[in-house]
Amino acid sequence: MPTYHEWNNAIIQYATQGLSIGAHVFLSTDNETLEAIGFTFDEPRPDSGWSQDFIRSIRSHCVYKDRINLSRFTSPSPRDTQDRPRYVAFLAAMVLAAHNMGDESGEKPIDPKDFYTHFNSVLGLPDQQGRTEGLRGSDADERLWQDWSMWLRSQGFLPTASSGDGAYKYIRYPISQALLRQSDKNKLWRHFKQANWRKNFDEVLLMQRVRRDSQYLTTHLQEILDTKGDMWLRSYEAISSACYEVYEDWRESDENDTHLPTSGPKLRTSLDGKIYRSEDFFSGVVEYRLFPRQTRQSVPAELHTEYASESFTLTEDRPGWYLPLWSLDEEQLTNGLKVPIVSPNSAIKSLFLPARDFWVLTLDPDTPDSGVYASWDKGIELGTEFILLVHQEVQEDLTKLRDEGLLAWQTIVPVFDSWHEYGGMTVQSEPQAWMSLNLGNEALRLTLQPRTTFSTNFVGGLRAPRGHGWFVGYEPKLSLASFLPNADLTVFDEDEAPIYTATIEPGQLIDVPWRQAGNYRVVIEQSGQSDEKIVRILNWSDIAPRSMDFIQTADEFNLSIYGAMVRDK
Amino acid sequence: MERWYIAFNTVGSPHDILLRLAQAVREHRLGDFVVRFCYEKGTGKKRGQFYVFVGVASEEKGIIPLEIYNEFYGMLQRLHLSDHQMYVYFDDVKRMVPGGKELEIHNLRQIKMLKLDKLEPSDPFSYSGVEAIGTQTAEIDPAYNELLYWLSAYGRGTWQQFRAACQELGLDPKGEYAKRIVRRLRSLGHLELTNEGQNWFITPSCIVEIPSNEGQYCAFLAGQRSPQLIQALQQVAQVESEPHPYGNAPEVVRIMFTNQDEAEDFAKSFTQQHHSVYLAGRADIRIASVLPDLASWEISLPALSLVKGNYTYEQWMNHGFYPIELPKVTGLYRLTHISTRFEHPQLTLFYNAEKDRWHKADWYGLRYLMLRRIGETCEFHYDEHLKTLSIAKDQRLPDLYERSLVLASGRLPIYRHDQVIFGNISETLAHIVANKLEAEFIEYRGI
Repeated sequence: MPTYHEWNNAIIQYATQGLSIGAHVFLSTDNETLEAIGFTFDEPRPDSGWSQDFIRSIRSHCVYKDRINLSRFTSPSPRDTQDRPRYVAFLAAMVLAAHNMGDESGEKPIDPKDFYTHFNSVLGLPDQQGRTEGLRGSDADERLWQDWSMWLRSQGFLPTASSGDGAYKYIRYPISQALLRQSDKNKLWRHFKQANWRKNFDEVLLMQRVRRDSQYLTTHLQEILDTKGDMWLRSYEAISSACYEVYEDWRESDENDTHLPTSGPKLRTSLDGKIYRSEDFFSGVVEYRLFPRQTRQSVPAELHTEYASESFTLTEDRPGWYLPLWSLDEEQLTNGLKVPIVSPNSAIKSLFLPARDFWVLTLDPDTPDSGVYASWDKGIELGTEFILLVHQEVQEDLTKLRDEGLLAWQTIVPVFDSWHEYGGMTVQSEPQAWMSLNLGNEALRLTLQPRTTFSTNFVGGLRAPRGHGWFVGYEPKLSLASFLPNADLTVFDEDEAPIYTATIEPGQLIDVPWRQAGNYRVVIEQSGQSDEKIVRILNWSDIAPRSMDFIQTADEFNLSIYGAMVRDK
Repeated sequence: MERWYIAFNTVGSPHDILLRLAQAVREHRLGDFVVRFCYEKGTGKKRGQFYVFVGVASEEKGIIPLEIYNEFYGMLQRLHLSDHQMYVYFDDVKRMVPGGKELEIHNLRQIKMLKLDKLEPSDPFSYSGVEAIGTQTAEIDPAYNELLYWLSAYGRGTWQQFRAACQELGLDPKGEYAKRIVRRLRSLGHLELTNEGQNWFITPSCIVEIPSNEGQYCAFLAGQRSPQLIQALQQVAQVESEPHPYGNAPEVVRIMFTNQDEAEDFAKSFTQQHHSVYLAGRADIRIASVLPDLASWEISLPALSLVKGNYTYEQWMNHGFYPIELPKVTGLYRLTHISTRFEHPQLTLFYNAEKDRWHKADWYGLRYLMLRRIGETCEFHYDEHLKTLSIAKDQRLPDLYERSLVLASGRLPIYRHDQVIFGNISETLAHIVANKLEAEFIEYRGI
């Protein structure tokens, strides 16, 4: 059975894996995440499930003689020899308790006492009332949350745990990490089922629909989906990801299921297919290739498929994505596609490309300079150009949107008889303006309407691979895209000292006086709303060369001479 | 919510009305209701009456929300605009403009954003006419070392990404000189391009042997490179960095091991701990030996299927490209696509008239092929004493053949009196390459 330390390190890994620098990190912990984390231990799943095993390890390590024994994971230091926090599993247990809070309707306000009832139950101390023995009369847990935030910042991430007021002072920390509580998930799941939602939404469209129907969801969901709320602006991606996971659960469920399954390992049986654009630069002919997205919490698995009598093995391109497969034809793009997947070591059975009327393609988020467009499920950032691939039926709506000044584009190019590619597209008008238009294709409006009123974009600089930051001496400039005339910019260094403050105008290129390598926090404030991002500046020695399989690459391009090497055939 | 328009019949300058309206909307806090303003294009030059249309958003056409009702009509009064209840949709607005003229449209809260310049598509192999920039010095521009570190970190990427990096590093302000940079990196064995040239990938880290008289194992570094690799080498061998003749490529990293076993041990241990490092041996001879002869090389080149009518043509004659109608004879051609629908890059291709085939390769290579196919003599001047090989500047070799010559020393050639001069070339190597490329071998044995 995994030890407390193994759980601790696995939770840290799970919370931060695959995230780009500057991502907001939530220590979101519930039965499902514990099941997913347990799956990585390379040990058979205990009969009682991984969630119970986690609770076992917490109880045995953190509790002694009916009280929390903090010294076991904070003394002599809260960090281990590799500077990793030793207390994260303990904090995760608090978040687990927060997840279990809330009534089924989700309408009642949270009672602070309720948190400790759940937390004490997790710790195996059900007889205790209120703040647990060992924490009572101290702010030890707050100091751990603060250290966790400090550690995340040192890694280039943005922490999200925050304290509350009065009786909520300490419990607000774990509650702020439970993005969706069990009651929120149940409500979402039931809404999908009762409203008979289609099963082919991508993440962007799903979120627009969830927002539209937020009145039918829990109070907590309504709060975090409020576009004027701080949570929405700062944590959109995490909220979106959590909601999409519930949607995937529902999509995978049996038609007769009436409840969101809450225990047992999650099984995903299908992969989502997205599209990846490539262009033959001689002829200008554009192709769209099938671009499989990995399932969340995926573990390495061998996946094969076959198409047109040719075999394909799915190879990871980057965390979250496989390399693009074959080029799609008009029929597949119009009617969608479902191809079987063969795998000796996973439950994946199929790869599914939904039939869509349109696809939004944005630049590769890690390397926008590459000029590669695909449907990354990232949504549209204000101030950046995107490509819209549309079926002919949608063209009329696009013309309407352009006529009304909501959208602009530079080119229209036919891809197939019934599909056109709109290039150099930009959103022109603020969210409210989009609400006043009726379109034939409601999904189009929901997908394209902006979710914010301003956006900070980094321009130029020499980027390190995989979103790790920029190299020293070649830092990015900054630009603001906005509907209002100006905003306030502050850049903080790692010690939270402001190094640059300015009132900036949209459309201008701002040269921030970055200093040495390190993490910088960039905060933009406009009309009471704020956005923050992290810029990490790296030394050249901070990034190792990419590990490559040179033999495979030489084979891929049929090279007998490869750099200074001659390959023996 | 609906978006609809209120038509106002007015006089004066629409531009003035727009400015006053925008200000009034801000002052009356009506930004959520009044969203845009339009009028017939060209109205500004006329005198007399005309329509302006104010776009608004409310629950239903004709319904002005109670909470802003007074503010809205107060604003109209201030602007001397009378609401005659001409409420229309945008399609009606278009119909109301006489003669189907265009509309001048202003959104009152339109996005302001940065417009970025884009790199136009280009072909990395077609670098004729791309001249070197700046003064040529023997000092290394550190940005070249950083470029190689950056390429090594990414491993692979697109040609556009490569060009953007060269721009960012200050090596290529216009986005064209990158073609020359990439050729030099290929000659040095640092990276490869895919056949169509739109993607690059780094080559393996290699310790490339060069001849030594003193029994030591002398070598230089090619391919994937990092500060860690150089530091590790410094721990076990004598390492020196030197600039290329014109400082326009990553430094040559020279390594001297006591013997070959030490080099092998280093490669093995570094590979286990970090990333793969290979011993490439005498890459110059090995590469030259496996390269095909000129005829086979021509056959191996990627052939493109082109629709001849889609292009205009220029043929290479007398050191320049000259327009022609259609290609009829074997030779070197520059093709420009006539379509304006896409941004097509200009292509330089070799046309084999007998087989009616278009071949693609690097510009120097195609020019060399053309020279031989029209019967021109290409000369290799070898100096046995200096171990140098001189080739006329306008007879540069296909890139892989040049790579075998460059890897004999690890240094790029120098230019003197319209000659390109490669150093540290053995007679054997010079003979192999000359034979394969059908060149005339002229040997200078000194006094």
